[in-house]
Amino acid sequence: MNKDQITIDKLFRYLIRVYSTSATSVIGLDSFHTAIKELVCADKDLEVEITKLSDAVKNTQPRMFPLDNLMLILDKEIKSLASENQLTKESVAKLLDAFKKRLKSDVDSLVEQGVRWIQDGDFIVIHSIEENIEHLIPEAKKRAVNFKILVLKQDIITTGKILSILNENQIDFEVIPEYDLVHYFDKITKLFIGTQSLTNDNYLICDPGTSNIVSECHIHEIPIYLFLKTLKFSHYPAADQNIRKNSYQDEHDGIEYEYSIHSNDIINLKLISHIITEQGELSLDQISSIREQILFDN
Amino acid sequence: MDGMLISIIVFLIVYIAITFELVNKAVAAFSGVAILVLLNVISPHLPDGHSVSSGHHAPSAIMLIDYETIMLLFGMMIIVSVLKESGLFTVVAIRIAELTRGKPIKILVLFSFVTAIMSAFLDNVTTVLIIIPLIIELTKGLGLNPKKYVLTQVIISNIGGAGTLIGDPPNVIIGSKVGLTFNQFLFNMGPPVLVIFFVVLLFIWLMDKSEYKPIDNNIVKLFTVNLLLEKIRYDFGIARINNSLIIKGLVFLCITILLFITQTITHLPPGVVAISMAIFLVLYTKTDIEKILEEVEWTTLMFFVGLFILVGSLEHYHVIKWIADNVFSRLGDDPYVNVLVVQWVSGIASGFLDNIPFTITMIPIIEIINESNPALQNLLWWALALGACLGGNITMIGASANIVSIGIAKKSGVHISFIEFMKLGAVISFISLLISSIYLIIRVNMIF
Repeated sequence: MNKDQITIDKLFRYLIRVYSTSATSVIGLDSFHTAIKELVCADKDLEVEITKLSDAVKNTQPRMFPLDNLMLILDKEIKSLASENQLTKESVAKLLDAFKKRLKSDVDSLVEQGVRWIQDGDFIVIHSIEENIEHLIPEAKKRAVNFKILVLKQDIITTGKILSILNENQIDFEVIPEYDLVHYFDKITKLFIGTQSLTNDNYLICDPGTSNIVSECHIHEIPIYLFLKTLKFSHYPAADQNIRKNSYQDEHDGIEYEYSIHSNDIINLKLISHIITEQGELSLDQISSIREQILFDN
Repeated sequence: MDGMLISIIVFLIVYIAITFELVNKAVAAFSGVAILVLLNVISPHLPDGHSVSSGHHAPSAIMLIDYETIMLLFGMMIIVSVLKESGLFTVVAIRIAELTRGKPIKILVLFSFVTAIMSAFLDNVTTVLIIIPLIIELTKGLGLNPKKYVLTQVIISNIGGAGTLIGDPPNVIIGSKVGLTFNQFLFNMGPPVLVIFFVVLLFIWLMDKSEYKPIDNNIVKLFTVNLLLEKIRYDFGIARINNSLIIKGLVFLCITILLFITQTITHLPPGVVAISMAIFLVLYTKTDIEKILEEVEWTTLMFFVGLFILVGSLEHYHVIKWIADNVFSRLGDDPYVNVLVVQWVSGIASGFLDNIPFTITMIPIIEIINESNPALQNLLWWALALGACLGGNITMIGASANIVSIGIAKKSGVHISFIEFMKLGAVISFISLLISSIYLIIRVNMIF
């Protein structure tokens, strides 16, 4: 893997930790836009250059959704524009703007659909930064729903961001370590999760640690709500999501050992009780047909 | 054993301990002071009539301290702490990173300008503490070689600091002890420092043009830059930004500099200005003084106090006069030789020894040379200042900013060895000292 790809992967992995995947996708689109604007190349080379960048974005470890799907759409549109001799920096910029609008409108619709699932008296468990945190929960608060959030503490960056969102929106919350959840199963009413992508073999690619929580909630029959945009429906299987294993040498009390950590968890979609998208609640059967439609909806 | 011999032995041991970093330098200096007091070489009491000492009695340690320098450093440290607390440096650093747009040549030039200006008006260590982490993040993220950029900024911080009275500790000491004004430093040190800055920047660019080639034709790199800037905005933007405190802090800093510049009219010593403005700033902004005092580099201040006492003791027992008479007086009356020897000896010595104790030791020596050759006016002070500040670039132990920067770089996984530093630092110091020599020769020519 070349140096630039490694850098892009690292940066994306960092950004999705502190922003949501959607916000990172918007940053990715803005960066794409600026890169094209600043690029110095002959008109005839534009298609090659855009494809080069699109490939780099599609090859990230892990795959970045919804950006990955947007890049597939972009590839298709670029080919069409090039064949009609209409491929210019301006035409690409228009496409990227349309993608951003689509992302924004999908989030708005997802929030509208999702807010219905928060009711008075709910005590909802959340774990990582996703659309449900950034938009959904504050929206429910605005609509005067009376609920409380249980935050499962992760690293300081991720949890810090969640806390600041909850605090800004004056949402009642309690923070516990992930492993302490067992003491709350008689109190919590729902688990809300987001995902980086839903693979074509029906697995969710989530933040590290999510799998354990989902399993625990499933065992204790706590309803699990997954909130995602359909643009996160991946065309690849779980094995092809470029989940990265990072290993390094560590040491404790003079004992040296290899410490490994994966960039993401994989969760079977069967464990999820409700799948909520911008199109409303979906059944498992509806997913594959919607996935096929994604590339033609722009 | 007489006072003279004990002073010399203690001073040499302390100097060795500082140079080879055997113990913390403030601890080393104060240990020396403690020994001198215990052996009754210096006195812990105030003398009658507030003279340094009376007759053959041991000099008073308290009277050997140059409070002007300590007040200036302490005051500026408080002002810098308040500005740091306001988030000003974070804002500046992010803005510069954005302005570079990840272009290597812009990173080199813009960061160098900011580093030079910040070093000229704030202390070098604060400057590198702000600049080095950011430049490492930026260059590493872009797949550039961070070592070159780190080295450049450290070197530039020492060059920029040489330009003003408050830019570098040797200047603070010379200005305070000799009574030279802010404007005198600005007008006499500013021009050669400006020339050195541009020549060094040009030299660094010419040495490795390929490193600074444009990235405009690499779409993946251009994309990476934008992602990286977003990361930097997040990382550095977490710091609390207090706009009102930034404005107030800047206003007070400007007033302080204005009072330095108008020193000949107001007759207010820089130390008094710095400490008064610092305390008024804290009072006006209602900043938490305990938090601000935590940021003050007490170790550095203690180090200065200890050294003033140690060198004062050498001076009292005529060691300095002996060095001046037996070493520097052999140089003869040739003004060119005098000025150039002071500059090059200071430059080379400052590269290998800490330039703070070196400057403190050299001041009384130069005072003696000046007495025998008054026609040189202040040229020997400028020679000492140029040598002590610019020579600090020769090795990584030559200046505090070097040591701090190498430490920050190491923490970020960028290892710069002693030799790697010296390879660039020594060449640049040679160029800088050469330009300084040309400047000093021109100045001598103008007098004689």
